[in-house]
Amino acid sequence: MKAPTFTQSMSWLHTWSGLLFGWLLVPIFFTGTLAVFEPEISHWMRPEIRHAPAEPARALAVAEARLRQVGEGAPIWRVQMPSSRQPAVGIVWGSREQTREEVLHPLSGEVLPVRATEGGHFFTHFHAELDAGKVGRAIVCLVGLVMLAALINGIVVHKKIFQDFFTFRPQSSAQRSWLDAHNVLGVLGLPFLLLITYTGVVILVDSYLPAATYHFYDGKAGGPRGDVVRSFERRPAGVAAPLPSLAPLLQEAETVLGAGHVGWIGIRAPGDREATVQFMRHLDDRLGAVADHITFAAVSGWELGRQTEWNPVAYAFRTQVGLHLVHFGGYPAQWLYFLSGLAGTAMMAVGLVLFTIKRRKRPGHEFGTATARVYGAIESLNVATVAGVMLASAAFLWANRLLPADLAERAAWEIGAFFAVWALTLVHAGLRAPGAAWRGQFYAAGLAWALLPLCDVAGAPGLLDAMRLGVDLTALVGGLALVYLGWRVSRRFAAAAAKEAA
Amino acid sequence: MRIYQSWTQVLSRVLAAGLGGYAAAWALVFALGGWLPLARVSLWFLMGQILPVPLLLALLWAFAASSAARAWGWLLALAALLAGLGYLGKVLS
Amino acid sequence: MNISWLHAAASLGLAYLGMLGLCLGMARHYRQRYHHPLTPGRGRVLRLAGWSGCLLALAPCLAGWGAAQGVVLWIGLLSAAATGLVFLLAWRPPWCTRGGALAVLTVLAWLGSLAFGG
Repeated sequence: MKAPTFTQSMSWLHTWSGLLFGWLLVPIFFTGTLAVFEPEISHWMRPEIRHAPAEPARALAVAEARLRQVGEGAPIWRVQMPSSRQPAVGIVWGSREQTREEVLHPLSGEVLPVRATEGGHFFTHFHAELDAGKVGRAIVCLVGLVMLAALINGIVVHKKIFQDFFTFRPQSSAQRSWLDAHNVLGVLGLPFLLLITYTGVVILVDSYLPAATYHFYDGKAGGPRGDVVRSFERRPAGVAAPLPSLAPLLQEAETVLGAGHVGWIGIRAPGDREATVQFMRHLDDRLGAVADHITFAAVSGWELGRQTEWNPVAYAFRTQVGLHLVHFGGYPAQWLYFLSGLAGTAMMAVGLVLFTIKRRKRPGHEFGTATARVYGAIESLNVATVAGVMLASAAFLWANRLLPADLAERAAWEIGAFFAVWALTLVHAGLRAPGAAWRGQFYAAGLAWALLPLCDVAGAPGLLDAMRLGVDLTALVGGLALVYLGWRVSRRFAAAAAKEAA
Repeated sequence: MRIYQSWTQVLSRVLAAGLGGYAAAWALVFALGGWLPLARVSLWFLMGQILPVPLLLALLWAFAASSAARAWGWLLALAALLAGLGYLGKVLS
Repeated sequence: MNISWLHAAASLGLAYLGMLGLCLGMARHYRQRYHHPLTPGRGRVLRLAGWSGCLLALAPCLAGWGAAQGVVLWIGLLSAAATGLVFLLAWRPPWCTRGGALAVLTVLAWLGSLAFGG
């Protein structure tokens, strides 16, 4: 048997790595797409927070007042300043081992009885780690590398990439039109897909291949960051001294970092003579995910140091991170990434379906006598990883409204709902024929998302602010699209069955 | 259409991509670290940005090579060469 | 914040017009839309207009976000415009040129805002 040609081997690799890793890639890509709107989803999941126009000085004042009340003796205080996407003030106090946190109204300082939830961060967490810590990150990195390879060998295999640039023939045969859709979404989305995959792997590569950390830092994980981010901390003197008001320091910090650009404030050893206050810039308006900062001695008010210049190689690295996280650009950029992410998810889902469609017509017998059963398993996995994960994501949000606000461990229960529903979709897909499975799960996912606004208002009555409304409307539109998909799928399968019966 | 002779061939290539590629990339970090005149912090942040490329190329090579043996051979040879260069760089500095 | 939506819309409009030119400048797609063949001269004009539109789409992005972020958004909007065009052309060919008219209006609105509002 001759050795395969380059195109043949790349085609084989694209097909089989695309199939196997596609089952992980679709959930990773979909949750990553949702993670673009992590702040909005988190806000939706904490309806106790009402949007209020916040002003930095006032926000700091209420945070400081509350911290002085509850944080006596705690060596660390932190304040998260409100922004247009995170309207409340967050405070944290405690020690390195144990912290407590509260959410405050940015104007009145009232402590908001926010329900315990991981919020939109769950989607980010799942996207980056599959909720599995360091091992999860290594797996996601590996999956990303396989995807990069699939993008490259997909280009290699797509001979008519320029002639077929705009070609989509939905009226052709199933195989032709599905292949067209996969190609078109892949080629037109190529800049985004290459960017997001490459930068994603860059973010995670040290978890997968920690050679650099071992060779240059003896395996110490915090080493590189410690060399880049300058620290101006002081050791606590052990001598008590009252902490002066932080307001003048905020003013000074804003002259360096920009008015309204302070994102976080960290206070070390409040009540000590050597207490320090560090102001960090937010990340919303630059490509590089790098926070300039300035530190003051709290008692004297003197500046201890600032950092607005960064190691250029590290800055380039953090620019790659920033390009992936898309904190920049305002809502137009967020929506662009969100829609591109949906298109990428669709491209991969279409690829998974294309695999089965090709083989329904002409079985490949790749697995000998077990081929038919393997194909059945592949069909089931396809349904569960595409429609199933969409349903599970909606279930996560439904659980937020349905579970009582004071339930113990409710954050874990919400996450449990996600995984439980996902597991059920796998079982459902295994038990039902492909057509019924796709139809049923698309309808279920579509209804779950489309009815989210009702769930929102029923579970947390009150006036909706713009962000909650935005989430609800997007969910409605997305849900209706999924219901439409389910209807189209059921018609396709019915037509195919009628043709076979005839 | 069967393009690889058997599933053992496929498995061998998968392992070549995974292990051989990993070794070659690790050796590359070692080699660059020994020769590039950059501070270690710059080296660390540089490696993060470029490592996807050799890992990706190793993966493609493992399947494009005309045989699994060739796939392994070249990757391990590259790893050895780079490791050697790395030691040389360490010794000379 | 609101002005950036206008920049984005204008860029998307120019990108759409550019992609429309490149697309209809291909014989098969011209026939798909107009049901008669594409003459070489018209094809050249369309393709030239197409490339121009795609390049000009960078301008509103630079205006709204500066160089670095602007280039990133420009490339993303090119992709988005092309994707929209492909699906319009596949399912409702006449709408793809109507979309072009909408794009022209959007760009004019943006130019108007530059001239009068700034």
